[in-house]
Amino acid sequence: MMCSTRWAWLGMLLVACGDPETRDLRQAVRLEPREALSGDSAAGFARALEPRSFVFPEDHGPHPEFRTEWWYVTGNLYGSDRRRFGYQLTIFRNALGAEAPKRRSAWATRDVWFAHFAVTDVEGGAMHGFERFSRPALGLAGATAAPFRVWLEDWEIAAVDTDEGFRKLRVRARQGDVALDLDLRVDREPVLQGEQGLSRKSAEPGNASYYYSYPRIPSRGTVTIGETEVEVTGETWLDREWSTSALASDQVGWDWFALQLEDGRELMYYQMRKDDGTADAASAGIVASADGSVEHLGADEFELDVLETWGSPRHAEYPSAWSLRVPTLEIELAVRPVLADQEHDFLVRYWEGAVDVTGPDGVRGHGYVELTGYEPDDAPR
Amino acid sequence: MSMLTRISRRTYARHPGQTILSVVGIALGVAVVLAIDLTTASAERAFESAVDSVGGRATHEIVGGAGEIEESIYARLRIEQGLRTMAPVVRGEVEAQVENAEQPAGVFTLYGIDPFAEAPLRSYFAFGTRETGSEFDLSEFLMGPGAFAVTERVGRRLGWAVGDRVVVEAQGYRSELELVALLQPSDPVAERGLDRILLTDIATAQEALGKVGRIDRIDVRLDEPARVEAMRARLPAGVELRPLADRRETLGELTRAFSLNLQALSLLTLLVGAFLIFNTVSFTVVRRRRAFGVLRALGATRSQVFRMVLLEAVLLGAVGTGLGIALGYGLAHGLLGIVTRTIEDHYFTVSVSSVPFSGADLAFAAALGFAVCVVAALAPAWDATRVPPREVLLQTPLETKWRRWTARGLVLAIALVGVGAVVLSTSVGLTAAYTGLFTILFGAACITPAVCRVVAGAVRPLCRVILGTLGVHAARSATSSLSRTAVATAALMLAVATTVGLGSMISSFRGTVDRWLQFTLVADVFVSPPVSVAERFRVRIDPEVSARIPEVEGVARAAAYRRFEVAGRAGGTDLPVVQCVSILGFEHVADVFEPVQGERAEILERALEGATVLVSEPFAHKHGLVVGDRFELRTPRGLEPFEIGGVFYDYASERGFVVVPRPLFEQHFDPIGISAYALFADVGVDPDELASRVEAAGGITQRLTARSSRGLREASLEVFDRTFQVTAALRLLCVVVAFLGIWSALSSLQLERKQEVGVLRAIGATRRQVVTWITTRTTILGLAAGLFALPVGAAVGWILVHVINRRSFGWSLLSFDVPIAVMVEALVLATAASLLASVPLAMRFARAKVPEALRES
Amino acid sequence: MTQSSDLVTLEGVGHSFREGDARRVVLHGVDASVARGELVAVLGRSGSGKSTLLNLVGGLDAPEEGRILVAGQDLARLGDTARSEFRRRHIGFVFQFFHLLPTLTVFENVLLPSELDSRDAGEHARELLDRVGMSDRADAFPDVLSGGEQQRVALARAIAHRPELLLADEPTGNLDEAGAAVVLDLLVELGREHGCTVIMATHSRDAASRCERVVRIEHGRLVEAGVTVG
Repeated sequence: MMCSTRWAWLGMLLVACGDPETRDLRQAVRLEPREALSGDSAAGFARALEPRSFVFPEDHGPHPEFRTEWWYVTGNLYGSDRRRFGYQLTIFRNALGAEAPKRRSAWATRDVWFAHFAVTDVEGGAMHGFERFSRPALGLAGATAAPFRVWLEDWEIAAVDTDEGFRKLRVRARQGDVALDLDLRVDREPVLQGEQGLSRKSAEPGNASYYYSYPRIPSRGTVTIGETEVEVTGETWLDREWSTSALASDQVGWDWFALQLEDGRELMYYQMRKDDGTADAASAGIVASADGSVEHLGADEFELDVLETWGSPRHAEYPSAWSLRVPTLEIELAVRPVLADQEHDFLVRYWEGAVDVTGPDGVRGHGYVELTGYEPDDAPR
Repeated sequence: MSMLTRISRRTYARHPGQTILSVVGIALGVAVVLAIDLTTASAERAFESAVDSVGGRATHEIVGGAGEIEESIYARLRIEQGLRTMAPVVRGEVEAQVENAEQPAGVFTLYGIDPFAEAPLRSYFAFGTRETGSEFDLSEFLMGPGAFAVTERVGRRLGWAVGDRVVVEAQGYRSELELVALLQPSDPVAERGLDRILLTDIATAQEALGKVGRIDRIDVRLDEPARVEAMRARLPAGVELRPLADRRETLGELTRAFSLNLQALSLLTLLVGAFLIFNTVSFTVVRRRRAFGVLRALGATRSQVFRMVLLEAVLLGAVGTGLGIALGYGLAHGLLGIVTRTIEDHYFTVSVSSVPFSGADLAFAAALGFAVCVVAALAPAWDATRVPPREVLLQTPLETKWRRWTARGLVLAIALVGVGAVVLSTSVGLTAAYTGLFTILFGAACITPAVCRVVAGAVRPLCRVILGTLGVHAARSATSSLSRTAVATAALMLAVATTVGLGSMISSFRGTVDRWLQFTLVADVFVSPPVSVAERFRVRIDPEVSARIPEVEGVARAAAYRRFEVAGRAGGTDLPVVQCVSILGFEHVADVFEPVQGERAEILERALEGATVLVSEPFAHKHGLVVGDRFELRTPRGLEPFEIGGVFYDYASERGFVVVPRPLFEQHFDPIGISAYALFADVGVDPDELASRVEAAGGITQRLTARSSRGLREASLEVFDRTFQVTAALRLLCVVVAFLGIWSALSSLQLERKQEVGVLRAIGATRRQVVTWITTRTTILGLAAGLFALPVGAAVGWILVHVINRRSFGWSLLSFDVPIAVMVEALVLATAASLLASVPLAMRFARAKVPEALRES
Repeated sequence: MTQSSDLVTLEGVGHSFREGDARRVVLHGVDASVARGELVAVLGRSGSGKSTLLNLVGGLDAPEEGRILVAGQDLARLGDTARSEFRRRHIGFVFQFFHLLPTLTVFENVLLPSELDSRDAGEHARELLDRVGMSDRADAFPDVLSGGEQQRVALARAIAHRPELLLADEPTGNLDEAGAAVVLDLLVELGREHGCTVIMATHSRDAASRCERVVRIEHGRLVEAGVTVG
């Protein structure tokens, strides 16, 4: 998923929780490989230069030869009383260097793992977000391909049993009194993004990732908030992406849409925003149909208009309603967050949340939107 | 009252020397009390602030049974039990030296932390701020083998810059570290707490400290009390959750006796200072008897007079106390090095670079100074109110009264000594012991006038032979104005007795330790990784190195010591840290354990069978345990009881320790590495040569320190001598105050005796004869003080050794003696002090104008 | 030592005291002489300079102006030790307040001046005590004696070392009539017996009447008040 690149490249902040005492310090304490964007820093790592053939289940597992990768699930869930939830669980791996240290201590590592977990409770009018950091030592964090499992402490996305492989996954996360436990039935083949899974992020070769998605996974399980545990069903979008470098220096952020429509179609669009406010030509997306066919679309085939904006209490101004059109496919959608404040007050602030989709032709849907790079540089922490 | 105030002011203004001396006296007393208070407190506070800084917001800690925790336990707690407000810590002491630097930078605590787990616990790790723009490269911190950080303050102090390479040695393991960041904690207290800390990633710490696979503790933050019990219930056996406050308490417990003893000694100095104030105030009262008589005749009430005198004392006290506080801070800086060194030698490593301002200590010292002044002035103030109106007789009434008083005082004084002795013999506590000691000292001080009389009478014939009638005059006048001289002499006696007492205590201790070392150091060579006292029970010899040591050529037999620290319980009290040792080859070193009582062979046999443990005398004393008692130690299987089979002499550890015989150790504890070896050389092998061969066995893996028993004995005695440096310093200060006392008393005499000087001069005495007369007189006083100080000092020494030391540390000494040198020193000190103090004054006397002197009346 | 007929000669002697910031002149341009064996009374109001005069003559103080010769010796030009030695050989003092040393017995007090000069004068001291009628109190301490008795001892002490010059500063000033009479008698008699020159400061006419010569101090100057022979 596109949105993750910035975390990976530009810095992961260390001090994890939203403790006010540490807030002003978080930004500065960053995990930032020196000259992260230059070619030199990629030395020793593999690069996403040309399409490759994906091999499963191996490719569900880690790719340590690349600098960074992530496993990303988001979804919209509904309780038996149509109580509405959104959720997000992202687990990232980021390498500090190409060489694994040869050291005696098990704690020695070249990888830092971090994860974001959020549940949006529409009725409750709140989003609960958490982040964690760890290292792949003593089983505290890691990923394996077979059986498939990726975890950070007790947050995990894992195959339920060996026989079913990637078909049956379980997503579990708990922090404080917020918990999520979902069974995911993966009943389709992955959608390869970009050029057979090679997703270019800027004009420069190598600034690209290997990227595939499962755009619609039926999900069932429970969401717990406080004392209340709610049985839920819904749909998950799963993204897998790994790369070594991606962003160009004039890119400041992106808007990412992953929408699931009731008519069986899915739409994904990422728009890279340049520092002059225009969309980068490398922006792209897909529209997938229920029959498994996928349309790969370039930046010029999308039309995105911001209809409203929302001012975050934490000083950023985010778009909060869009009109998204794909004229060639006669798609015209109004996209609206289910809750205005789904901003993640993490080390790096961004907005990611559940949205409702409506079309003039009566088509409805839901999805997830991610907005980054909206925080002014001088925002107080 | 303004007229009375004027009288007061002029009285003191007219005798500036006198006033200054008493102010200085009280100032010194207050200064010493404050300085001792500040130094011990700042050492403790530095330790506490280090505990707090490294503990951060932690409320509890999880510690292992034998001191360390298997690192997988941490992961299990975190993943399986979802405990998240916790962070692992690997720590150890290291000696650091910048590469190619000539001098080591000192001893530091190396802290290995996991930055990813830190946030709930420690904000200081959030180094650098957005404002300053200082950034910290985490990849270097994690990836660079040997990367470490210090606070910017430490960097400034040591002149370290990012990129500097520092060699550290911990328990004999040498590693090269590189400074990658200078931290800027926002909290200055936290910053001070990090003054002696090198911060590394946990992996780096495990490697540098030789602790791969293990962590020392897990810091935990549990805000809700309910969670504490829940968590405790879920902990695996062998680890324990305990409140962080325990760590601080342990420290307080450790140094309590040490601090209390220093405090008592400092109070003694203040007591001598109190005598000075008493002296000055009574002097001014005596001088003004006529004035008080007139005042009373003019209608001043008794309480007005009383208040007037008391107010004077309070003002003197205020000035003296103020000065003392300033002086105390200065003195504290001087003492700090010695005190911290002692604490490091015996208890823990601590970094105290400065004496922090402490309101509480300051208030304590000030209150004490005031109280002492007021109490000292009460009697003279009372005396002033007793002056009948129109009192014209000058001195005689008081002098006679004083003489009468000395007769009654003698009875009272002897009674006081008796009371002190009863308190000492019937009480148990340390405070009571000091109360007894002080009562006895006070009683002895009251006996001093009588002793002066006896001594002066005894030396009179001698004076007559040597100096004729002038000598007789000197001898008689030595005791003729005891109302003035007695107090100063008593102060001198107290001071000298204190030096005799401390001298004999030190000597007895040294003698005992020396004797004990002789039968303790049975082996030829002792080897362990180089380590501080505080770390002695945590050090391990590398397993491969350890296996090589008994095989070194020339080693006949070896005893291997496994030292460890566990928590325990004794008599219903939790013991956070019990130091234990288990010895392989116990039979070789069994001679070391000399039982305090009981049949040695029998005791050792039972221990070897694994039926009982042995404990050192301080351990038994500290926890009120005797042979046959049981106490508990936390083993990997939980708290288990152990029976005491014997109590043995030990003077090395103030905390005391437990010898767990091998069968018991193997039954209850998991295997741990060897901490030290005692080696016996083959016949004809030189121990020093063997020592160097054994050291070589460490190779590049781990540096070892091997000492022959001779070398070890010297080193032990060196530590011993260092320990008593503070005592020696206090002893000196006591003498200074006493010297001032003598001086002050003499200057009061100057005024009173001026007339006599005039007469002597008028009838033809030369200046030299006047000087001789005065110095003889004071030397007699000094001699009396010195002579009396001998038995009193011996008693003080005896009490220090057999009561106070036993109650503080639990050591019973094998011998007690008052060395001749100490006695001679005391006599010389007392007489020289009085002589020295009297000479300049005598000179001034002699030079006084005779007519003026004669007019004095 | 020259054997002129005058034992004491004052030449232009002036002396003053500091009183706060001012100086008070007590003696001014005094010229006088006292012959050997003479018994002189110095009269004057209190504070007129009587004691100062005696102190200067006794070498306890040095005059600011002029010079004083005692037995031909200018005391001011001697060092302190020499002056002390001169004093203990040639001069005796009697004070108004007796000034016996309280820690010495009567006998020891009398013995002290000779002792200071390393002379054994025990026998002489006893005779003197006998002479002043105090031999039965020889071992008593001064504080048990009456004023008159103390002054008799002081008198014995003053001549114990056979001084040529006896200086008495208000010797009866602190005594009752009877005591004063006894002391005055003894002073005159002992002075004669020992061939002492006696200078006595007093404000008692009675005492002055016993002297051969009376001088007054008026406004810092010495005025002859006539010679009487009692």
